[in-house]
Amino acid sequence: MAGPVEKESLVERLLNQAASNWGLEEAESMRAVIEGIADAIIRVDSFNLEPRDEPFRAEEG
Amino acid sequence: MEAYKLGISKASELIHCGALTSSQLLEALLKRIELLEPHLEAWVTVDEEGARLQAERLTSEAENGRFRGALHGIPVGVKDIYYTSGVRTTMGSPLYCDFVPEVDAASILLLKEAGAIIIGKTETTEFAQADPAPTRNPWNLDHTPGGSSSGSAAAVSSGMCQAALGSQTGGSVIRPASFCGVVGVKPTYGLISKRGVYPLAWSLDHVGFFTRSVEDAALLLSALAGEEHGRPRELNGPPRIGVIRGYFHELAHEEVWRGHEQALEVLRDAGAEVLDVPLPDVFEVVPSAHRVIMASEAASVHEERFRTDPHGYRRNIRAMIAAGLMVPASTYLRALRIRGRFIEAVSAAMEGFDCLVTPSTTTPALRGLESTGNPAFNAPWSYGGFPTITVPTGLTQDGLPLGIQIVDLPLNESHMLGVAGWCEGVLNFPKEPHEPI
Repeated sequence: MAGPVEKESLVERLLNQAASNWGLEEAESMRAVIEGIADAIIRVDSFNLEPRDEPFRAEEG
Repeated sequence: MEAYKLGISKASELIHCGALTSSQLLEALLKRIELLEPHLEAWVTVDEEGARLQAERLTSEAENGRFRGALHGIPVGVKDIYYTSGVRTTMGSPLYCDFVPEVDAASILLLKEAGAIIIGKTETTEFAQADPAPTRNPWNLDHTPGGSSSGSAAAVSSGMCQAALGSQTGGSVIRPASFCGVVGVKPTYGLISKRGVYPLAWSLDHVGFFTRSVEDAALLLSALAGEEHGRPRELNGPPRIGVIRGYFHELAHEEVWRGHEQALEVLRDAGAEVLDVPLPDVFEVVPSAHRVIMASEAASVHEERFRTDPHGYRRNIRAMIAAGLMVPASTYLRALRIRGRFIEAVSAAMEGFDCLVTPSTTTPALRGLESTGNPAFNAPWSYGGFPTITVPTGLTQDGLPLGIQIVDLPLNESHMLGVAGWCEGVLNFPKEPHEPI
């Protein structure tokens, strides 16, 4: 699991990206959502997968 | 009994024997809508003219001995993200306020073939995400009905229609159904075609629906997915129920968990074997994987328009799209890859059990209309594509409904309906519409 420093740095990076796309004020208004997605990204990226883990549902072939 | 109080099954029986016509039933519901809509705001569009024409045709067919099926002459509400030919479809967004589709969604066609009358379009949160609709909860007008299928849940609960279509990407059927004290069904991913339903996130979106009983849910599912899925399977005896605690116990409001334990006690007293099932380890990452997929796919759905008109979107969905556009492709793929692990682990955990159960919601319906509530108890099953159903269990001290969420294996709807019917019979929650005023 990633630590608080990693999350803080990702949040900062995403906020900067959002500010450059949509402006500083808009980016700040999205802070809670950005913090949520940053946490989700870190958790997903920390999960151990194997090559056999495919991205599609079995029934989709 | 007044016609608006009838369930699908009883109304259908009366229509078949000539004691009630489709037109009479429709008029009773239109009167009910006229009375309640100013208080509940469940409808975007009530298609009185179109519904009356459909009802007249179906009445005439019945008089000539022709019945299309169990839904012959039954009025059904439809969430306003389903394409309905010639009827405005807004997606709950000003961007689509004048959009009139030329075709019906696949599920609308199936309902019409089964004889249902499309009575109108129900309120949805914007693009079926989190920015609330104006709809109020029939059990307490100061509370949210939940979302995103807000109008569908409120309309069925209050007797403005006998059934309504909704959709679920996180918890948009099960949560509002539970908040409004009705039965909600989210079938297996892909069992019912999503063609003609405006997407929120393709790999998570499910067609679902609301009724006031499991029996009626079975009739609706039969029309939408075929009788092999919709006919409840008879159980050999009381079910063996797996209870998941952990995550669900931690997130549940105290009154929700107490109500859940009481419901389990009732099921146990009636003969069910109720045993704890440990959560698989992979569950820890599932809410995050769901969030990554939902944000990424929603961002992709809206990307073109969003780049030029971000303020055409309300606050919640705007932030989600913006966040989704920044998710790395590798993370999105990882979130998809974890899904297989989750499906495997849950399927293994369910071995020897008829179903898994959790509370349907983290809280009772929240006061105010600012939030439609938390989908945390439903999103994992949307992620995994497992079929779920919520059945009302009782009321909080303040008189708000609670529900139990039943989870079964993919494509096991027939069995799930059998289990849900058994639970409903034991829990004995009233099936008549709630009187909001």
